[in-house]
Formats: sequence, structure tokens, C-alpha cells
Amino acid sequence: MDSLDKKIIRSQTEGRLAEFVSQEFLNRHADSDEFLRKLARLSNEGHIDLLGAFAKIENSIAFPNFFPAKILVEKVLPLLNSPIVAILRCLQRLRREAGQDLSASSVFPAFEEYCLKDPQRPSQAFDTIIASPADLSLFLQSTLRCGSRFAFEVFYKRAVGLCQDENIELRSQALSALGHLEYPEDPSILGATMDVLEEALLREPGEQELACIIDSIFHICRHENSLTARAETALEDSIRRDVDVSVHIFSRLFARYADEFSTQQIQFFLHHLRQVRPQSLVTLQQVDIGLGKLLRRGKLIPVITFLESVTNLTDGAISLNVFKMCTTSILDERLGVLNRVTTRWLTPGNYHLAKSLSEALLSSKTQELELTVVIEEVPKLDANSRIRLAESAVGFLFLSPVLAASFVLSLAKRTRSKQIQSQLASLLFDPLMISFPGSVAKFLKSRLKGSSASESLVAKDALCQQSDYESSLRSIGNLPEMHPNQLQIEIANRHFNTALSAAYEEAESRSPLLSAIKKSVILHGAHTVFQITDHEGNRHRSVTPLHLHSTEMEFPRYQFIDPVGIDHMLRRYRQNLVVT
Amino acid sequence: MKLVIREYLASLRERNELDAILPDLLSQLGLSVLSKPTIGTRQDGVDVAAVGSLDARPEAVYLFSIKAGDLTRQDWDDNSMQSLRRSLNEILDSYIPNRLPIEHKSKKIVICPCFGGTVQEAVRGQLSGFEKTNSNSRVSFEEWHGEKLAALIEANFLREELLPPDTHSLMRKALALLDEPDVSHKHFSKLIHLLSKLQTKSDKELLFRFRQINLCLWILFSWARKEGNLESPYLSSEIALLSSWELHKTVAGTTKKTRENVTKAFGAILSTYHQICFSYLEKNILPHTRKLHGLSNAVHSTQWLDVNQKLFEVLGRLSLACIWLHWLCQEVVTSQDDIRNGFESQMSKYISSIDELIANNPALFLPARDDHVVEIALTFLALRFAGACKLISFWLREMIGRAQFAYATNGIYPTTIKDYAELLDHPAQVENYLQKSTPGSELFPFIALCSTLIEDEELFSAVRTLKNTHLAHCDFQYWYPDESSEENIYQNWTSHGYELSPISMEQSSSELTDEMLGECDHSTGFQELSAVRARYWPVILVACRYYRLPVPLHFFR
Repeated sequence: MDSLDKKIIRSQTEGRLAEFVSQEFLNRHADSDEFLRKLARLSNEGHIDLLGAFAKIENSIAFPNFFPAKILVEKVLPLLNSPIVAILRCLQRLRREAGQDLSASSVFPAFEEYCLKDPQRPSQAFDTIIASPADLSLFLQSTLRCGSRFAFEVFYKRAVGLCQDENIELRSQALSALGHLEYPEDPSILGATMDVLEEALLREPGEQELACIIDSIFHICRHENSLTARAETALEDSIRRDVDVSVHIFSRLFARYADEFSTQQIQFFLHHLRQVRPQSLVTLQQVDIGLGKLLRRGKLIPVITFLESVTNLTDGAISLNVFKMCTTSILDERLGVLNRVTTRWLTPGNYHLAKSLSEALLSSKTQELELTVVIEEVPKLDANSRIRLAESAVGFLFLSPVLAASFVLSLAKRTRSKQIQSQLASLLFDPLMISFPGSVAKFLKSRLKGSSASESLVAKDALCQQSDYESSLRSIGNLPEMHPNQLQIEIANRHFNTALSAAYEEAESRSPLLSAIKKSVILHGAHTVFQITDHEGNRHRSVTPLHLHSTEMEFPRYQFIDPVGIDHMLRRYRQNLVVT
Repeated sequence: MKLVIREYLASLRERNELDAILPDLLSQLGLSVLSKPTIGTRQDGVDVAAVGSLDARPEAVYLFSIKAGDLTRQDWDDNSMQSLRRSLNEILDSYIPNRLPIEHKSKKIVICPCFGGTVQEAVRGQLSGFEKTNSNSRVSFEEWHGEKLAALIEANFLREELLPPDTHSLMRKALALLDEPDVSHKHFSKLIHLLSKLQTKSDKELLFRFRQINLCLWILFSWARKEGNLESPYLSSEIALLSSWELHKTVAGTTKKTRENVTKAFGAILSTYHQICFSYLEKNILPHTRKLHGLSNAVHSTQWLDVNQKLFEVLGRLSLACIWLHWLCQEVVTSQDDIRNGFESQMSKYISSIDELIANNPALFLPARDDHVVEIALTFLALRFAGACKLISFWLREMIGRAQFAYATNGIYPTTIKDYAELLDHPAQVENYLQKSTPGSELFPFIALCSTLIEDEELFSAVRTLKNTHLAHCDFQYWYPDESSEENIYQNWTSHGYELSPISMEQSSSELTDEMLGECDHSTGFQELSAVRARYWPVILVACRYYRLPVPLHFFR
């Protein structure tokens, strides 16, 4: 017995075993396996009551290492020979204390690993759970699954039997387990299971049971493709019984398996997921994950169709802004979908999608992107619709002026109409170049060469208009009589600085980085020096140079020369997409 | 102070500037001014002629030939009609033999070459030679250069004992702070206030006070012109004009001669005011109204509020100038066609500028402040005098359209808030903010009235819809002068007049017109205003602009 063993045993005597071993576990990244083996040995030899100690811990400020402790228990579990009751009690405690944390359910895989170490364990666990279903029913599904590996028929029958048990917890767990048992290669058993689930569906199940039934039907169908039609009928039946629960479970399955779904499955799920409600945030998050997976698989059309459909059905309450992951994929240049969706959503009938796409473009770091119209997405691109498309782009993308300008300019491609060219140039000039003379002019200059003749012509025309405009403004020179007075300048500066500091403080408070690190204010100098002490107690001098950071903002000129006018103009352009 | 005056004199131009101040100075020195400069008539070298005794010398006729700034070789003799040598020869050859009034023929004659600056060394010899050659027992020469004029002005107008305490310091501050116009104007206003509230014991003193105000205004103007910032003189000329009118009306009961003299003295201030206004507009506004966003951009601010306020202010000034031109045509010029034509063509140019200013600066399509009803009323009046009703209709329709949009979208709508800091947050995201920021309005009932005056029924309906849709809580009202207005309107001592409130938008357009214009019959205070009685009615409009009072509806009947 080494000194660590003694320390561990002493900590038990002092009533602080859980605290001590959790801290040691945290400190020993490299040799944690060895430490876990040591703990298992001490527990199995009866020197310490490891599970007893962890069955008392609380997820509170008094025990800050709760989650490392939970990981420790999950890792050491397969090495323990402790009685099943102690195991279940400890895991049940950890599961409950973890609350809504995402890692709460990680106790189940650990428990299954423990059960699979000995064929007797599933039976022992089953008996224990049946004896005390109120606290331990959560472990029934894992128990039945592990048991089905060793004795399928026994545990299958137990599961089917419990599907009609009086206790709702046991009933739900059993229904759920049916979808996850280790089935033999025999389609008839899966068919029989489907019968059981269909019958359960007919018994007017509550929300909890319905969720388990849907989950199991889906997983049975994954085992046996021939049951797809029956499964789809049953799932549609479940929707009729409770849309919200069904859609929620569908979304969970969609999020998990979208990267494996067949075209038919994609169609089936997306069709029903359109019924998601705007207030079902978790469900929407799951749908988002699934949509992102589909986009990465190149399944653009079903995603776009779904987004358009759900946006219209909810009158914009659900739109692209709800689906963050999906949006990230759309904005991902590598996937090459941005131009297609932009073109498509800037046409009439897509007001909400265009709005949320423009917001996404503004808040993302894609300001240096350029957009191009995808002609194939616009069924009939005549002169009128070309100009309306350009106006819509300006209306929605005004605050991302280079994106707007690039889209408008691309509409000049394949047209020789002088009138269209002139109208496009006018749109580029007013309001884009009047508002953002710097960035848009830079972009257009870059497009004078290497673009199509028509594009160059439009860019040149717009640049000429801007040049005339700017020289007209410059010719005025300085008119001090027109300037606001000194007091007003000071008030306005104070107002701006107050708003800026408030925004800065808010940004700081939301920064995960700044909340994790200590902020230090350096009063003088061009670099800082500080001392670091390494593991061996040696001190090192470290020099950090200070850098000057700055940022540039281009405020749209129209915002101060005609705020109401520009607002009205942009709204008018955006209204192009509203179908009346 | 003498330095200040010298600088001022050196910067004066000949026409309407140096020759305008000289007669006042001569009168103050005790001479009788025989003739003043006039445009278009032959002067035979004499700009100003006066008779009297200076420095206890025998009475003589003083003939002034005026040149601006320093006397250079070119000014002296460049073969042009304007050279000093030519003017002096004309005096000797033509004026003295032919045009000297018979009663003064026996008196000695002093020819005074007069200039704001100094005689440059290069012409000193030639000028002295000329004077020596042409001097005799009857005719002598006396140079009135900047130094001498400054000394005379200081001694006769701005001596410490002639002015209330602090006046010099206020004048110096107003000049030193010209690049902070509001501060400079504040000091100048105090100065004018001190000068105008002094008790005057005689008509002579009263005249003297007018001359002092005019001189101070001129000094400020000339300095500001050199600094390139006419904002302070513009505002100061308004307060000088209003304070002078307050002084002017006190002579109503005195002798005819006094009244004439005082009216002339007020006329000099009015002329200075006009000169400043027109200079301000010609320098800053008129050359740039055609440029898209030109004047909006010239505000050099990233605050929409600054642009909006400044443009409405400019519009008000331009419109007021038009109204003065109209007044000059109607009330002052009666016979001289060329002068009348000049004013008319200037007015027509200004009206075009109003059109361009509005078209090229879209901030003018909706004011941020309800009290910009003053500027809108002035513009309406100016355009109505010019018969430009089509522009009024277009402008006001756009204004109501934008107001509808701004109220519907919580955009920047007109509010009664006047505090600059509060306006920067307008419209604030606060509960019931719309109700708090628009408790009343004079702007919209005025536009409703305008719509009936230009017979635009659609515009009237639009105002009614606006009221019903967004401003049901808002009291539509309008201000009228009352008996106490005469006492207060020129100096804004205290609140005066009354509001007609509420003005219902449920009545028909003709009923609304009857109500709003009919109230003028009860508001007899307007007819009692001295400026109205004396037919100097634009003075009332200056007061409205300066003190932010709605323009009395009597002007629109």
C-alpha cells in the first residue's frame, strides 16, 4: 500500500473521500487510468466505499468538482465489483444532480458497460429496478438492452410484458427499449414488435409513452426496411394524436440521422417537420442540426423547399434566423449555395427569408464576399424583373453594400439594353454609392477590368455619377456657418461615446473569453513583463508586446442627410417581395 | 478699441459700406450732410458732401471722395472711372463750379480724399504733389485715412463715457469668438441689450444710440467677413433690428423731423441687416442650392438632427430674404424701375433657390421639430408672394406622406421636444413616448390650412388621416398675437399671445379655414403691432424666426 493509497483511505476516515479523489483525478491527466485502477482495487478490496461516498454528493457550490466526479464514477464503474443496488443508487443520484446538463445521460452508457461485464448483472439489475421502480426505472431500457445481448428471448418477453404494466415509468421504458434491443436476424420478430407498438399506439398513450413509441417504431424500421410503409403509417397516426410531441421526436431523430436518411426519409421527415411551432425552441434546434447535415450532403433543394414552406406557413415567425447551423452552411462559400438562395429569395413571395438571409449576411464575417445572380433560379428575367431584383437586393442588403453592389452589377450580365444598364448604374449610385462611397467605389473599380462588357459599362457609369457627385460636394468647401455649434458638437460626442461605452460593456459581458480570463489594465509602456513559475518552481520572465488595435466603420451617409427618406426607399424596395 | 475700429475700416468696401458709415460720423461730428451716395446718378467725384465747422475752425464745405482699403498706385491713377485722381479732378473741374449749392458758394472748400486704410508710400508723393498744385485760398485738401477715421469714430461713438460699462469687453468678446458663432452672438446680444435699454434724454441721444448699434453691427460684420464666418453677424443683425425697432417706436409721439431722422437711422440699421442677410445667402447658400445633398453635406455632422435643424434654418432665412425683397418692391421702391427690376430679379433668383434647396436636400421634406412650422410658414409666404403654389403643394404632400411613414414605423417624426440632447435620442424606446413627444402640434394644423389656401383637398384629407391614425392624442392648435404682443414681440420679454386649441380635423376644409383665419378678427393685437401699423411688417417675421413664434395667420388672409 503506497502513500496515495493511505491518503485515499485517510480521506474516507475524514469524511472527504469524494472531494479528495475528484481533485486527484483532475490533477492526474496523464496517469488517470492508473489512478482509476487504484480506486477500483481499494473499493473492490473493501478499503473504501467509493460508491457510497459519491451517492451523497451534490451539484452545488459546496462541491465544485461535481462533473469531474461524475466522469470519474462513469469511468471507474466497469472496474468495480460492487453490488448492483449500490451501483444503481449512485448513478441515479448523479443523474438527478446533473439536472438538465447535456452530460446527464452519460451515466447510461457507463451502466451498460458495467452490465456487459457479467451476464448475471442485467438480471440482477432488472430485479432491483422492478423492486424499486419509482427511483430506478430510468435504468430499465439499458438493462433490457444489455440483457437482450445475453438472453434475447427472456428480456424481449420482459420488455413486451412491461409494455402494459400499470407503472407508466416502466411502461415507457419498456416501449422505448423495444426499439433498441439486440434483435436477431429474424424479420418476423421485428414485425411482431411493430404489432406491439401499433397496439400501444391504439391505447391512446400519454405524451411520454407516445414519444417512446415513435422512437421505437423508427428504430425498428431502421433494422428492417420492409417495415417502412407500416412505420410511416404509424408515425403519421402519431402525428394525428399529438402534433407537438410527434414533431419533437421527429426532430430528434432527424437531427441524429439526417446524414444517413434516404431521399424518401428526408421527404417524409421534412414534410411533417413543417408543423413545428415557433415557440418550440428545442425542436427547432434539432431541425436545424438536421438541415445543416443535409446541406453538407449537398441536399439543397429539400432544405430550401422546407425553409420556404415553413416560413410561409408561420408567416415568417420561423425563418432562416431560427436555424443557425443551417445558416452557417448556407453562408459557407465551399458549399456554393449562397448565390442560388440569394437569387431565389430576392424574388416575390420570399420577404421573410430575404430578410433573415440579409440579417445573417450582415452579422456574419462574409462582408468581403461578392454575390452573383443565378439566372436559373429566376424563371422569367425580363427587364422589369431584373430591375425589381436589383431593387430588392439593395433593399435587403443595403447594410452590406459590397454584397448588394456585386449582386446588382451581376444583373448587368447578358443584357444589352441601355435602359437596364442605366437603371442599374443609377441604383448603384443612389443609394449605395451615396451612402458608402468608399467600399462600393473600391469594389466597382476592381470590376472595371475582367468583367463582361455590360458590367464594366454599368460600373463605369456609376463611378462617373459618383465622381460628379463628390466633386460637386467638394466644390462647396468649408462653410462654418453651416456647422452645428460647439455645444451641440460636445453633446453629440458625449451621446455617441455613452452609447459606444454601453455597447462595449455589453459586448464584454457577453464575451466567453473575457469572462474566463482576468483583465489587466496597463497604464504606461509599449510592452509588459511578467514572471511565470513552472511545475518545478523555476521562475521565467515573459515579455508581451502591446499592439494597437483599431477598427473602421462606414456610416451610411443617407442616415444623416435623409434618414426617413432612405428608410422609406429601402422599405419600398423590400416590399417588392411581398405578394399581395 | 481703436485697433478694432481700424481693422474694421480697412476691411470696408467703398460702395454701401465706407460711404454708408461716413454720413453718420459726419452728423455726429456736428456737420450737416448735404448729399449721400446714390446709385446711378452722376456724382462728379463727390461721394458725400457736408457743411459745418470742425475743430472750431470756420464753417466750410467738406467734399469726400471715398476709396476702400489702402490707397495704391492703381487706385490713385489707372485711367479708370474709379481712380482717385480722376474723381478729384472732377470735383475741381465740375462739382465746385457747377454743383455746389448756391448758399455755400462763398464758403471755403475742403476736399477730403477718404480711405479705410493708409496711403501707400508709392503714391504718397503724387498725392501730395496733386494737393499742393491744386490748393489755393479757397480750396484746401485734408486726408481722411483709416487712422483718422478710427480716432473720430472712437471719440464720437465708442468713448467709455458714451457707453455703458462692459460694452467694450462685450464687443471684444463678440469679435474674438466669431468662430463660435453662438457664443459671439450671445455677447453681442448683451451689448445690444445694454445699448437699447439706456434711458435717452433727447432725440439727439436717441439718434446717437441708433448710430452706435449700427456701427457695432458693422464692426462685427466686417470682422466676421474677414474671418469667413457670417453666422454671428446674421443672428446679431436680427437682434439689432428688433431692438432698434423697439427704440424706434418710442419716437412715435415726437416731432415730425425727429420721426424722420429716427426712421432714417432705423433705415440704416435695416440696410445693414439686409446687407448681412444677402451676404450670408450669396456667400453660403445660393451658390450651392443646385448641388445634390450639397448643403446637407456642408453641415459636416454625422447627426441627422444637425442636418435637419440647419437646413430648416437656412430655408427660413432664404424665405425671409425673399419676403424682404417683396416688401422692398411693394413698400419702398415706387418709381425707379431699374431698382425695382433689380429686386424682382433677385427675388425670382431666391425663389428658384428655394425650389432647388428643397429638391436637393431631402431632409427638408420632414422637420424633426414641430416649431419648424415657422420656417414652413415663411417659405409658404415667400412662395405665395411669388405665385409658386405648385411647389408648395408638392412639398407639403411629400411632408405629410413622410410624416405618415415616420409615425407608422417609429421613424424620426416631428416632435415638440426642443432640447438638443433629448432630440438626439428621438424617437426613444420608452413607453408612451409618442404621446409624450407629441402632446400638441402647430405644424399639422398649419399644413391643413395651407392645403385649403392652395385648394388641395387631397392634402387636407391626408392631414386628417394622419391625425386620426397616429395623433388622436395630440392637440392641434395655433398661436395668435394679443394686446400684450406689441410690448413683448420685439424683445421677447415674456410669454404673450394665445393659442386657438383644439383645432378639429373633423370639420371640412372650409370650416377649418373659417375657424383659423376667422380667429384673426378676434386677434386684434396684430393690427396694433407698431411694425404692422408702420408698414414694416417683415420685422414681425424676423421676430417670429428669431424667437421661434408661429407666423401670425393674418399674413395669410
